[in-house]
Parts: sequence; C-alpha cells; structure tokens
Amino acid sequence: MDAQLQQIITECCRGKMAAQRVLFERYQSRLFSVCLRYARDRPEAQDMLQEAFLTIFRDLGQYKGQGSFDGWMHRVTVRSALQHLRKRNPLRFADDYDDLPSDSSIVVPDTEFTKEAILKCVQQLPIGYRTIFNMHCIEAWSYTEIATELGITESSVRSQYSRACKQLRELVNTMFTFAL
Amino acid sequence: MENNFNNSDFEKFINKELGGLDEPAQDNTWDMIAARQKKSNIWLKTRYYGTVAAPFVGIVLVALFAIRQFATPSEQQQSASNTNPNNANNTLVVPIDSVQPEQIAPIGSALSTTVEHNKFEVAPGNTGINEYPKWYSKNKVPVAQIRFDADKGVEYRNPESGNIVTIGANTLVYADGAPVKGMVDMYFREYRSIPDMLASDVPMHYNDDRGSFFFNSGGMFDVRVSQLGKELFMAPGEAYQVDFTAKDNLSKASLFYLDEKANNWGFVSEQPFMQDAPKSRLAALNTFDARSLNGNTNVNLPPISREEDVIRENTDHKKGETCLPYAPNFSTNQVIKRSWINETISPPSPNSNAPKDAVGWVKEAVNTGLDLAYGKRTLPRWYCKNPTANDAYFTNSMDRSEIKLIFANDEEMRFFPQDINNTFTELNAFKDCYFIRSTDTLPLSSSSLKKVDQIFNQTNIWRSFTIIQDEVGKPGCTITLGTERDGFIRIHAKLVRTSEAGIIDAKDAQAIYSKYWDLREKRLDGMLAELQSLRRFTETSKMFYSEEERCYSEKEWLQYFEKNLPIMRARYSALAQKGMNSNDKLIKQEIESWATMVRDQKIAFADRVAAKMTSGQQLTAMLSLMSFGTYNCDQIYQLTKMPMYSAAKYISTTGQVIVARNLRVLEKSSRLFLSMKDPEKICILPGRNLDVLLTDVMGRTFHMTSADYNKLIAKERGTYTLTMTDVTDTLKSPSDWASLLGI
Repeated sequence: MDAQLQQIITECCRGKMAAQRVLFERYQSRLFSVCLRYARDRPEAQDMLQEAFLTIFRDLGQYKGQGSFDGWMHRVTVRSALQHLRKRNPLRFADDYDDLPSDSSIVVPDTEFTKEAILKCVQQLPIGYRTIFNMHCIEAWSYTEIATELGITESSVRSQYSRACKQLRELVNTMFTFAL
Repeated sequence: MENNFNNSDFEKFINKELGGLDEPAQDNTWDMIAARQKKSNIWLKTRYYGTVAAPFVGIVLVALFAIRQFATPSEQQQSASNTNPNNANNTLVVPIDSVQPEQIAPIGSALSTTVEHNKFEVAPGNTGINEYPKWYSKNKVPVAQIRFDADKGVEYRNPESGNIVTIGANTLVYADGAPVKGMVDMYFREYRSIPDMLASDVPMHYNDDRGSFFFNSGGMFDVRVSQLGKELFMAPGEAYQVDFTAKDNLSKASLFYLDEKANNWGFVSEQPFMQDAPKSRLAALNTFDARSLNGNTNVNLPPISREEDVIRENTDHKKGETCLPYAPNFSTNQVIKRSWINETISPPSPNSNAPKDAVGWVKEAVNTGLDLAYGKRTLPRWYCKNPTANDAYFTNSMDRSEIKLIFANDEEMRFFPQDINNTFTELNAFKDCYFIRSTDTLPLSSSSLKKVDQIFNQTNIWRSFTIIQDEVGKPGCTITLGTERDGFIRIHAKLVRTSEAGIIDAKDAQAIYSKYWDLREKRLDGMLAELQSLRRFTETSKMFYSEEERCYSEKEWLQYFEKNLPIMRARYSALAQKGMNSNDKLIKQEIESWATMVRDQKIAFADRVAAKMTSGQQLTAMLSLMSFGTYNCDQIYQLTKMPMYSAAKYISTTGQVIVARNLRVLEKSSRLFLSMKDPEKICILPGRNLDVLLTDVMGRTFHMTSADYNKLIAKERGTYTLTMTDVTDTLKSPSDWASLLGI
C-alpha cells in the first residue's frame, strides 16, 4: 500500500472529513459499478453506495493491512449491498424464488450492444436471481458460501443460479436481435 | 472464495463485460454521505483520540493524586496563588517573576534580536517556531513569535518591512472577558509577495452584491496573541496599532478582514491608506472593529479598479519611476513544418535552451521595421490583437475565417463552400466543382448521426473547413467543418463537376486534390513565416525603445508604432544606415551593451525602491484595530474581458482523483493572481499564459504549467480534466514557490 493511501486511511479513522472525501473520490466509481449490479436501478445503487461508504468509514479501523485494500473495500460493499437488499426485501431471500415475479417487465434496451446494455439486462432479473448471479458469476462465491450468506439451502442456490443464467441469456439474445 | 464451477462461455462473457464497468456515481452522492457521516465522525474522533490519550490521562491522574497526597500545605498554597482568580479554566498562567531571560527573548536563536524594555525587532522566520497554538493556521510563510508581558504591552517592528505592531499594557482578555496576566505570545506574519500569498493558501477573491472580484494585494498581515495555546482577545473598547506600509502604491486600496469561519473577506474601509500622510493624522483617523462586521459586509462597498490599471500598477513599478528596459530575449529560428497546424510554434522563451540567433533576429527586425514603417508591409490585425499570445491561440485563431455552404436546389443537395473573406485561398482548387454529401455513411466523431445532420443543416457560417481525400485517385473525401458553438463535425462527401454529368475521373480528382493541398500548405506556411517574423520584430524592437516606449505592453507598442510612422521611419533608417541589418560584429556589440544597460538599470531601480521603502514615501496606514486576525491592503478588480468558466476535474500524474479545495491561476507577465470562487470551475482565458495551482482537501499542492494549460484548453471542450503534478514536497517556503513559478 502506498504511503499516501496509508495516510488517507489513518486520517479517515480519525474522523477527518477531507480524507474521507478523498477516499470516496478514489473508489466511488469502482464501487458504484458493484452496486449497480446488485441494484434494480441507479437510485437504488446510489443508496447502496451511500450505505457502503458509511460502513467503510465505520469499519476502516478493522483493516489491518492484511490483503489488498481494494479487495477489502469491494467485500464491504458487496456485504453492504446484500444488507440493503435484505432490509428492503426481507422475503426475497426465501427458498421459493420460482414463484416470485420479476421486479420489472422486460424492456429491450434502446442502446447499442454495450456494457451498459448488459447491465440493464442483469438489473431486470428478479432480485433473488440477480443477487445469486452476481455473487456466483461475478464475485466467484461458492454455492455453499452463498447459501450461508443468504440463509437458504445450497440446492436452492444452484437452481436459482441456473434459472438466472437462462433468463439472462434470453434477455441478452433479445437485445442482440433488436440491436442488429 | 473459490470458484469451483465451470463457467460457460456465456457466463465468462457476462463476467468480462460487467467486471469492466466503471460508472461514476451522481454528483451529489458525496454531499449525502457527508451529511450522514458528520455525527459518526464525532464518534470516530472520540474513539481515536480516546485510545491515544487514555494512557497519558491515566498517568496524569495518578500523578495529580500523588501530588495531592504528598504536597505540603505551603506548596499547595503557592500553587493556588499562581492560578488566575478571574478564570477558573485558566490554571497555567506563567508568573512574571518566574520567567527566565531566554524566555523573554524572541524564540529562535538564529534570528536577530534587539530587546529594549518591551520593544522587539525580530525578522520573521521558521527557525525555532514550533509551538503554534492549535487554533492558529500553519503555513509555510515565516512568522515572528514575540513573548511579552501582558501587563507591560509590546511594540514590535519587522526589520524587513518596517511595519510596527503596538499592543498596549493590560489590554488583553481571555475568551470569557477576564483580564490576562503574565507572559503571552504574539505571532506576526506578513504576506507581501505573490509567493507569500500562494504559500498562505488564503482564498484571494471578494464577493458582494455587485459580483465576484479578484484581489490585487498590496500586502496582508496577521496578528494573533495567545497564552499557553489559548487564544487571547483585545479587551472591549481597546485597540492595538499596526503601522503598515503597502508593498505597492495601489490606486484604490481598501482594508479587508478575513472571516475565517466563512472563509470570506469582509470589506472594512477604504479610508486608512494614504500616501505619505503624517502618521499622527493617520492615527487619529482610523479605528476599526472587524468583529462588528459579524459576518456581514460593510454597508459601504470598496471601489473597483480596472484590470488595465491593476496590470500597470503591478508591472510599471512605482509612480514617478521610469519604466525599465526589457531584458534581451532571443530564441532560435523555428523550423517550419508542413503539418504545422498540428504542431506547436514555440514563442521566444527566456528559459529556452535552444541555440540563440540574436544577430539574425536583429537583422530581420530592422528590415521588418523598415518595411512596416515605409508601408511595404502592414501589421496584420490578428497579430496586433494579441501579440504575446501563445502558439495554441495562433494555431487556432489564424486558421479561422467565414465559410458559407451554398446549396444547389436539386435532389442531391449539391453544395460548394463560399469563402466569404477570401482567407482559405486553397478552395480555389475546387472552382467549377460541387460536393455531394454521402448520407449513407456514419459520422466519424462520437456525435450521433442525428446531431451531425442537425448541425450541418442549421449552421449558416462555418469557421473552418478542411478536406482530406479518402483514397488516392478517388473523388471521395472527408470534410471537417468547424463552428464556434458546436465544435467540429465530419462528413463524407464526393467531388463532382458542375458541368455535364458532373462525373470526375481519377486523374481529374487527383489533380484537384493535389492543387488544394499545395495551395493550403502554401497559405499556412506563409502565415507561419509571417508570425515568426512579426514575433522576432516585436521582441527585438525592444532594444530600440525610447524611455516612454518602455512603459508600453507589446500590444500598446504596436499601436504606438502605427500612429508614429515618421518617428519609426527615422529610427529604422538610422539603424539600417548604422549597419544594424548587415554588420554582425556591430550587432553583437550592441546586444551586449543593451544587456549591460538593462542589468545596470535594474540594479539601480532596486536600490531606489529600497531607499523609498525606508524613507516612508509609500502608501501607509496607521491602523487601530480591535480584533486580531488577517487583514489585507487590497484593491479589487474584474477582468476586462469576462472569462468563461468551465467545469473542471483534476487528476494527479499518477492517475489519482484530486479533490480541490483552493484553485488559483497566475499570469506571470502581468502579475495577476486569480483565486477561483469555486475550485471545481476553472476560468478559460485563451491567449493568456496561466499557471494553475491547486490545493486539495488534504492540503497537498498541485501545479499545471501554463504551456500544459494552453494545450488543454485548445483541445478540450465541456468539462476539462487537468492532469496536475504534485509539488507539495518541493514547497517548503515562499521562495520555493518563486522558484517553481519562475517569478
């Protein structure tokens, strides 16, 4: 870790707003992208990001320099996003996802085939599918870890993930068709 | 966390795409986090300092307990007599009798000291000053620390500026109004030069109902008094005196006071500063209580100076002084490049390490002067308008004129470019030709096709017009059109003849495009050569200035030249007759004697200024002030041509985002120092050489050179991203600032 970052972390632990602002500016776009994947839309991602930074500032003293700081920030953000989803949707982490309706109707993105368009597709997945898809496919959590974290069975995680992939593939295919 | 499953291609694809997302959050996100974080920070501070302080607090408590247990009754009585009976919180006043002689002397053995009763004369310095009260702002500007007895008062004189601070006996109080006894520390700091102002990190702009203004400072000073780290105040109704001499004779000087909580300057009065007035009269005139402003501005408003006056006062030296001759400043001849429009043309630079060709410059300047004086050549308007402008200004502004697209009223909407001012002479190559826009091609820029269509169809006058043939021997081309408002768009087009079926064969097309490029390069090369020649003429003519002309800026001198052609004819004819456009040996001798004369005059000038500073022939004020803090002798002004402000983002050379706190720009030639009201907006002033200086919220300082600033504003539009060099570690004192900026 470079000396400047070390200084920023120390100042943040002392409750210095200026240092916290610097840390925010350094990491906000990276962490906002994480939140965007877990959120339904940008406003929800904004809320998640705020929660994540408040948690980071609170727990920064616990980071002892072991492992990458970026990785630590990332992990705190993911856990904070999950916490946010739990608060907002307490029932959505139940086992019987299959019967739950999608959060929004499928809308074909009117943009080109870009990262943003794929993100839109992910955001259109039902909350449970989206969460498990992100945790397994992007964050590389194991099924067991996800099951423990979300408090559901491993078999449920597997089936949710499989369905998430299927639904996402359909969304992306639809988008491809329109884009071409 | 191990990924123990086999990703399908689809999953890998999604992973790759989403893993590379980098989206910034909304602009107000930080404000929302900051609002929620405020309370938590109080807890964080308590936790942090609590952890650090706990062992010490424990030791102190044990020690106090032990003292209480073992101290004799007489010692306890003595201890009680040393406390201030008027202030229950203040338990550590140093008794006068207990102060050792070395404590009375100003701190810092390296500093010159004269102690006579309660009079002090100490040069400000950084040596030995290590016990600042917590509330006192630290910066890199030298400060004088004077320890004196509050019962006797103090008179302190800064030997460098001659300014004097006088605090009367028994005039200090604690925050609760109780009178102060015992030894106290006075801190006196002066900011007299641009490097001082920069090192102070104090915002240097002023706002009132009339708008936002820049400061042109004649000097600032800061007076504080403390006792064992506690801030002290003047007793109600009491005032201390500052006998202050401004560094420049500003024509519209006023007194301002820095409201540190709001980080704003308040106007106090325009009365105090008078030239060469008797001090007794000054003392009778002015008593100011900046606290009475109480966050509000004075009902009266300070007078506003004009930018021209500010520059003149900054650069023309003291009134009654003859302007100094300019220093010789020769640079190498430039190699003319065919693709010069994308290159830079370096102006004469005093720091240039390039080989000099001073003799060649003088010869050329004399011949150009002759041509201009006798009307064989004329001074072009584009040059006279801003002769000291940088390369970016000329490369952008020179290749501009007015083009109108004339459309044929047919299905294909054929068009040809009409050169209204006959500037783009290369367009003659397309005589008897039309262009047809290929609408089936995509725009080349990032703009959408719809936007390109809109701009293309709605713009009446284009400012620039460039054509590049797509393929050798083919009539297809790419046309770049520039507007003032929308920047550049590119379209694909095909060249056709106006006559017959309009078809152009390969040979014909090639001939037309070749002719176009030949004419264009000839025009651009001609303009470049003319610019070079005019720059050499302007720079070298300074050798032949009369005393009166030395006071003119380059722009003013060119106007003077045009209005005084008979004088110029006589001057340049005499120079030519003497051999200044042919005799190398003579020219060398003249250059050397000119350089010597410039140096001698500068030394003599410095001596005169120093003499004036001590003789009191300056803008002075005897201020009676009722509150400690930072005061400024200043004039306010706005730029004659209001600058455009544009959103700015800052990154360091290592790619880290910089959170700006204080943004300043400096024009060295005019000594204008502009402090931005909003650090996230930067002023765009094309044609002026501005160094950009930024302090971030962590107190680090960053710099962007004027050359980089000019390159940036020539290229970018919309939000500017400034890549800045971290110079914090090189700036230990105001003189480091001076070295960094070359001022």
